[in-house]
Amino acid sequence: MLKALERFGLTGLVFYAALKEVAHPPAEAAPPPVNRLRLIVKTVIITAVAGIILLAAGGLIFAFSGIYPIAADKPHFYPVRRLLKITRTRSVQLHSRGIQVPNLNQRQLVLNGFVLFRKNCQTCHGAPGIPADQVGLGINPKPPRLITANTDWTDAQLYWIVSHGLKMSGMPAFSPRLSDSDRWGIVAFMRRLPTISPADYQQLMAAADQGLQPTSWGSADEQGFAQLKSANPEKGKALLVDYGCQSCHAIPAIGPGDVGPPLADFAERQYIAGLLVNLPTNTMNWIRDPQRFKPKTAMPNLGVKAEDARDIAAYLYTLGGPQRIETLQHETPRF
Amino acid sequence: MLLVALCACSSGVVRAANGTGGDPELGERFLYAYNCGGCHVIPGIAEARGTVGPPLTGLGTRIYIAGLLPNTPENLVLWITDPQQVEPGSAMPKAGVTQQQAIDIAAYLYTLH
Repeated sequence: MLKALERFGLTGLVFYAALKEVAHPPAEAAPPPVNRLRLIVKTVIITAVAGIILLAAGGLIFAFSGIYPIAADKPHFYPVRRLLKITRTRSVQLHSRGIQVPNLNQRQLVLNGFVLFRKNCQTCHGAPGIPADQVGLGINPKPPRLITANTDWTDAQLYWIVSHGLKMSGMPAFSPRLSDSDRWGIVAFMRRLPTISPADYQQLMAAADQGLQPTSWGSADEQGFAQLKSANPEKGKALLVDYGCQSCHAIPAIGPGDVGPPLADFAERQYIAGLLVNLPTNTMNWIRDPQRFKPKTAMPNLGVKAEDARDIAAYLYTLGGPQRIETLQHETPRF
Repeated sequence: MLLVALCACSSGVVRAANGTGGDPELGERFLYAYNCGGCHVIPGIAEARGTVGPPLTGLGTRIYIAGLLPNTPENLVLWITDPQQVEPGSAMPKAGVTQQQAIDIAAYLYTLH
C-alpha cells in the first residue's frame, strides 16, 4: 500500500483502492433471512388481495352497469358457451356417479316413457317430424333435438338430468313430480327415439289417443347390420364412382356434385330423404329404389344391384363419426 | 386479397338480396331463433351443428330442395314456411316461420356457396 503510494502518488492510491474494491467487495451486511421471507410473503399477499378486490370491483361494476347482453334471442359469446358447456358436462358426470340403471329394455316402461315424453319433453325438444313449440324455440341455449342417437350421455346421466334439471338452461327438474320409474321410462323412450321415423311417431300418437297399444315401432334393424358385416366398403367407394353418384352429391374425396344434399358425415345423419331413419336396410332400399318411398324424388333409380347397394351403404357408413351407428347397433333395446 | 374477399362477400350478399328481396342479416337471426341449427349444419350460425337433416353448406348452389323442388327463391320460401304442403310426412316440421322471415332466411342461405 505504501509502495503503491510512493510509486503512483495519491491518484494511484485512489485507483488502487477502487480496484481492490472491485476485486474484493466488502461483505455486505446480509439482511436476516427471516426478514426477506417475510417481505416476499407480504408482497404476495398484498398483491393477491389487491387483485381479488380489483376483480370483485370490476365484476360488480360490470354487473351493475347492465352492459352484459342478457337477451335470449342472441347466442352466448363462443367462450361463454364453451365454458358453460364444460361446467355442465363435468357437473353432470360428477353428480350422477353411483346411479344404478334398471333394465330399460321393457316394453311397458318404454310405452309409459313415450306418454310422459310427449306430455313433458316434446314442448321444448320437439319429436320426430314435430318442432319445438314457441316456448321451446325461444329458450337459450336451444333445447337439443333429442331424436338423434344420444352419444353424449350415459343412461345414468340422462336420468340425473331429467331428475334434477340444469340451472340457467331452462331444463326443469322432474324429480318431485314424476316417480322414479316414470323418469327411467323417459330415459328408456329417449334411447328408442333414434329408431322412430316421423311416420312411426304419428302412429304412436294416434294409438295413444285412441287408448290402443301401438303396433308400430322403430326397427332395431339387426338384419341390416348383419348384412353390412359381409360388405366391402372399399368396393362400395369404387361403385359410387361407377354409378356416378358424385355427379349429384358432394362426397368427400370423390366429387363435388350439387344437385342433391352432400353425403359428408352420412353415418351421423338421422334421416334419409327426410322420411326414413338412417339405418342400413333403409339406406340400401333407398339406393336401389328411391321412388318406392318418394315417388317424385329427383333421385333416380339406377338399377343398383342388391350386393352393390350393400357395399355402397357400407362405404357411406365410414363417412363421419362412428358413434351413432355403434350406438344403434349395440344399444338399441329389443323386445 | 382482403379486398377480393370483401368484394366476393358483398357481391354474394347483393345477389342474395336481389334474388329474394330479403335481408341476409335478419335471416341469420331467424335461423337462430327457429333453431334450424338443431337439425342442420349451417355455416355462420351459432350452435348450428344438427345432424337430423342434411347440411345446408353450399345451399346457394344446390339444384334441388328436398329432392323435389328446383332451388328457386320462391320454392325455398315455400319449403321453409310449409314443408308439409310440399311433402306430407317429411321430418322437416312447419315451425311457424312467416313469409317475410322465410324470405330473409332464404337471403342468408343463398350466401352459402
